[in-house]
Amino acid sequence: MKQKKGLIIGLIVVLVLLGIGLFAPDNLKNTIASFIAQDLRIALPLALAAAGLVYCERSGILNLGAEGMMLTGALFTWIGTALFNGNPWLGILVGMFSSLLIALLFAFLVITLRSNQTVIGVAINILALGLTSTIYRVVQSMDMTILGFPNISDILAKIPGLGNILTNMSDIGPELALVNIPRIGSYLNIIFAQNIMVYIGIIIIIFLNFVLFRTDLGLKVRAVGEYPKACDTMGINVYKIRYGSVLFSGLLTGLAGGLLVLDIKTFVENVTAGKGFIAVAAVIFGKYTPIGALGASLVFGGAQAVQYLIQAIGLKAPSDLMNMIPYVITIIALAGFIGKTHVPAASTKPYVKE
Amino acid sequence: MKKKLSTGDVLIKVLTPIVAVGVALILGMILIALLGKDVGVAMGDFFQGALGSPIRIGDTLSKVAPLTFTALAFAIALRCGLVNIGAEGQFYLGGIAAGLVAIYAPGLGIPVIGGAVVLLLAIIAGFISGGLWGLIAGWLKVSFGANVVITTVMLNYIASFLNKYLIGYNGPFYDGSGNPQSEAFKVSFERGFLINGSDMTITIVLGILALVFYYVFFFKMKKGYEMRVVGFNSTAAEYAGIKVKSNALLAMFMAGGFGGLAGVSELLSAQSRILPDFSSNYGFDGIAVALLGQLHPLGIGLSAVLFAVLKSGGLAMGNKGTISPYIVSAIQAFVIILVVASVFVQDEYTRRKLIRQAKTAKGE
Amino acid sequence: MVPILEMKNIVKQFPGVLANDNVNLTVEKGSIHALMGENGAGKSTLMNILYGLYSPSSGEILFNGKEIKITSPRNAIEQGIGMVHQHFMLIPALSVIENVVLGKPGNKTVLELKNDAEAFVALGARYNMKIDPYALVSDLSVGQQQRVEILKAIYRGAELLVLDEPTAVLTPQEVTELFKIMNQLKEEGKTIIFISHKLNEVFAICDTITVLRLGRSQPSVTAASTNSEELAEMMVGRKCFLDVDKGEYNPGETVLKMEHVFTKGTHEALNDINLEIKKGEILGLAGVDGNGQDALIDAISGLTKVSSGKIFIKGNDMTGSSPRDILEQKVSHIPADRHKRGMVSTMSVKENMILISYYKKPFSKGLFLNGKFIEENATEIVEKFKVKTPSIEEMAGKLSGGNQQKLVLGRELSREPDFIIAAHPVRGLDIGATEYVHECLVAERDRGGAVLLVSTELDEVLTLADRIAVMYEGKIMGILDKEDYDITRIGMMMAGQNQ
Repeated sequence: MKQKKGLIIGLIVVLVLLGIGLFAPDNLKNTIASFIAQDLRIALPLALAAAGLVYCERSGILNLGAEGMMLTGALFTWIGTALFNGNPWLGILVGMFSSLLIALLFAFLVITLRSNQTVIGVAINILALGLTSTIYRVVQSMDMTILGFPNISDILAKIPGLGNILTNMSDIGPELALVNIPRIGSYLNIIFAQNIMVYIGIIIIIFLNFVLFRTDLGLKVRAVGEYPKACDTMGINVYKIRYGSVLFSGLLTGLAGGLLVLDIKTFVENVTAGKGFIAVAAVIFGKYTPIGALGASLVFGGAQAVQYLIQAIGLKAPSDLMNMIPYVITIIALAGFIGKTHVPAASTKPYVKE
Repeated sequence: MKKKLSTGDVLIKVLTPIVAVGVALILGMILIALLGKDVGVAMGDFFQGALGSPIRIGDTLSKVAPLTFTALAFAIALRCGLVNIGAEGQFYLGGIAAGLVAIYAPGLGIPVIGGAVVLLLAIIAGFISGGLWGLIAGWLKVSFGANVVITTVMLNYIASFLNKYLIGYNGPFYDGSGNPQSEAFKVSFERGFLINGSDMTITIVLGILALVFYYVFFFKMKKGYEMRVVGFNSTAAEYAGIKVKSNALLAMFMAGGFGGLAGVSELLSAQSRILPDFSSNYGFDGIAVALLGQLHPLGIGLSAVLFAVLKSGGLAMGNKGTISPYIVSAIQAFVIILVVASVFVQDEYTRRKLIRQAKTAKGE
Repeated sequence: MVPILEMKNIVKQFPGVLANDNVNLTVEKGSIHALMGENGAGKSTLMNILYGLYSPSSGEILFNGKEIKITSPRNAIEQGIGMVHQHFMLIPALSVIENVVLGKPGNKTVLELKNDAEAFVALGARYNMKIDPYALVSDLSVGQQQRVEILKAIYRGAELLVLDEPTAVLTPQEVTELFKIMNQLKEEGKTIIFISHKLNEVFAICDTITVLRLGRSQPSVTAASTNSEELAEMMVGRKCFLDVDKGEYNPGETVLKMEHVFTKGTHEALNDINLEIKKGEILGLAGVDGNGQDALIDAISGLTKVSSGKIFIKGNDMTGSSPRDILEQKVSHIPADRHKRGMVSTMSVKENMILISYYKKPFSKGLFLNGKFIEENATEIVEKFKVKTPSIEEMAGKLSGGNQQKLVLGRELSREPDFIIAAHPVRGLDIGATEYVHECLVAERDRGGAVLLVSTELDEVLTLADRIAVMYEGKIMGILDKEDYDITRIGMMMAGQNQ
């Protein structure tokens, strides 16, 4: 039932997008296409963090330290990339490792020491803000060259033999061969010529959805957040599953933070600016599923991309007011969708093995 | 029949925060050393900056009032079971309202008898404005069940952008100077209170009064008792006929109000006009102050003084270029983590004591 | 033949409690073995040791003649020991088949739920149990959930199955069904340990019986060689039948009156409740747990809204009134779950004593609490109701269960109520505390109070109540006067049948 509903929504979205591509006037068409492209670009880090947090929340741990983990991942991706001569792949591994360490601290405090998850989550954020800003000011003067992840069209163009078929060369670099389709070619190119991580991210999220609902491990994660005591009597190690879930959410929030930095190609203090919390909200809004979290992130990403849309249309609105929109939308989504989704029954309750 | 807590329990209650602060400071020093800085120099800058002269001490103490207020913003909500991370936003809203009163009220024919009436109005406006900002999160919680931590964080960002907008180039309170800022306050708290030449103002007295109010409200008044019941066990509160929702709303209003007062006391003491980002993290400092003080009024007061020292010392280190003042945030986080984690140690201590007692009982 | 299970000299020491004191238990293969004893006799502890949830302080376990160490539930399952807990270990938000395969050794990385579901349905068919493997557990009835638990254990290859008080949540008819299944399992060579404190059930189904008392095991007996009196004596240790001195039954005017009360909700919603309770009587409300007793209490105390019908207290229409307005009618409520509702465990004894009345004179003056009176009040109640506490400043959560209940009882009864709702007032209490609570309730009745006693323990209701109402699926099946008490009939009504 639920899957069908998702498919139908997906189909409608695709049809509407195609319809716009076919029938809208050119300038509007391109504006919409770049809005969608912006939305995907902004939403993907958020969605990856949220997908990781889905596992965490499903196992019964409310990870409000996500913001701090993301921020740590962001700084160390920046440092790591610089250390590896601008290599984003190695850089982001450094970032993910750093947020993993923060997640380990969080897991130890809330799982082993059974401390209050909310307060510790907040403390983790303060800690990360303090650490990253302090370290940043020390390493600020380092020579930083950051290369972002390549665009899919650049990668396709380099495939021997197929490169010429899959892409066209233009003045500003390779374009996807989609561009050759009459009427909607350039429209589609704007949407699909994305950073490679957008594609990898979507694949990761679909995979995570599969793991959560179709595998033994996913079943254990879902069960542990509902009724840990029952899991214990069934021979499942509750602590292990919870540690694993928290650490995994640490890895993915770190990845998200790293993507943020690689996207803007620099680090600034508090660069995440609440995105970790928005990811937590996306988990709820997305009904605790990775794909739902992706959908929610697209909504939040859209709220931010609206700024570009408004600029493009030529409307004048104070940027400070525009900057509020993602936060306002998050609050509205949170208020509108809580209570309409099933929260894991053991959420925020520490488990004490007798 | 009436017996106070055992000395062991009291000792643990008092020792915990002291040990926590000690360990947090050591961790902070290790961090400084790890970053390749001279710990000795850093500490020198720190103490020189925070406590190096009477005026420095006064400047440091001037931070006690806003810290106390933001700590109360966290503590009051927590007593009612709500985790209010929104003191930062409430600080902005309170500051903005008070600032506007200080700029425009004197022009409206309100008598400026030494500024007292205007300042009183500013305090009231700040409290109400911060309170209403807190109330939004409270309303979202009781009506929709929205997590207070997330909504208050979102409201913090919204408040910060709202402030930037209001005094920005397109904002209604922009002074036209070419920098995003409001006009200068016509009235503000007089500096040099108690210590001549320092930034200290009478707001420190307001902070102490607020702590007294906090104590009386929660431990001597009906409403405070009600709120604590709701905070500890809302099911029992319903059973006892106590209205959970209206208590949560009142708690968030009061918490927001005190967050607003923090903004009032900082803005009208230490600053001369509304600027962007005028909070310098007071909202988050308050969380650590409240938790370190174990939500106890005396504890909060002492923690506020300690954190005032940390904050000014940290700023001094930053100004000298030794290390970022953000190091203080890291130390704060260590304090929170250690204090919260110590609950586990205390529980273990009690549990082990019970087992020991059981064993001796069996041996007899 | 070697016994399937031998537990020898098992000792389990908890902080402050010696739960098992040299317990011995021998179970023959292919038998149904009863483990009997009162609450707190150590049955659950022993079985949790067997299932690997606790490790024994000393003693040894032999399974099929070999000494084994059971380190965890998983380990127990692997050795062929299965357990159906009294509180089901099922996850309501998951489907039946997901519950069945959860944690099962030998699961593939990617689950093959379809295969498992087919095998599970086939297994169920063998025991005449039909359960939709894709249904959510939360949509199943209690009886069905229990069947899922039993099948789950067998599906994992249990040779020895422990059933912990399986009949406590069932109607008599469902009990018959369960016994059929148990007998079939026995015929197939499985061994069952059946935990119960109900004599008739044990005689109906078991071959051998072991009684635990105060953590010690009594020598096992065969069902054929013993009788009810002997077993009861082994369990209680003295001939003691619940008996309470009560004054003459002399009901006065009506205190509570419910007319055609309905509530909304799926499971336990009230369905046309008509009920009257008079001054000077105890009305016992019997029924299997979860048949609307909680909904009835919540409706009377104003904690849930009534969708239609009227509730009168002392002649005043209180339908839709707030909990506080109802409490103001001198209604006292001793709630079923004292930790959740009855008290604030992180507050002091003193502060708990004013939970209901704090806002009234003389507990407070104007906006302020009256500290001096609050202390006097607490001291007085603690003394009168014999609450054992080091001080009135002690945190209520640190008191023992019996003393916490005395605290709640003292607070509620010292308000001199006209109407008392007592929900499972002796649940989890030892015999001494139970007797004390019962005496207090009877004293209230003799004083002229109206008492609604909700209990799932039929003995308690039969002993204390002047009239008995039986609830089933949100309905009152009938109300019996003292002279019409008839256990069979009450049993039928608890199962939803009248006459």
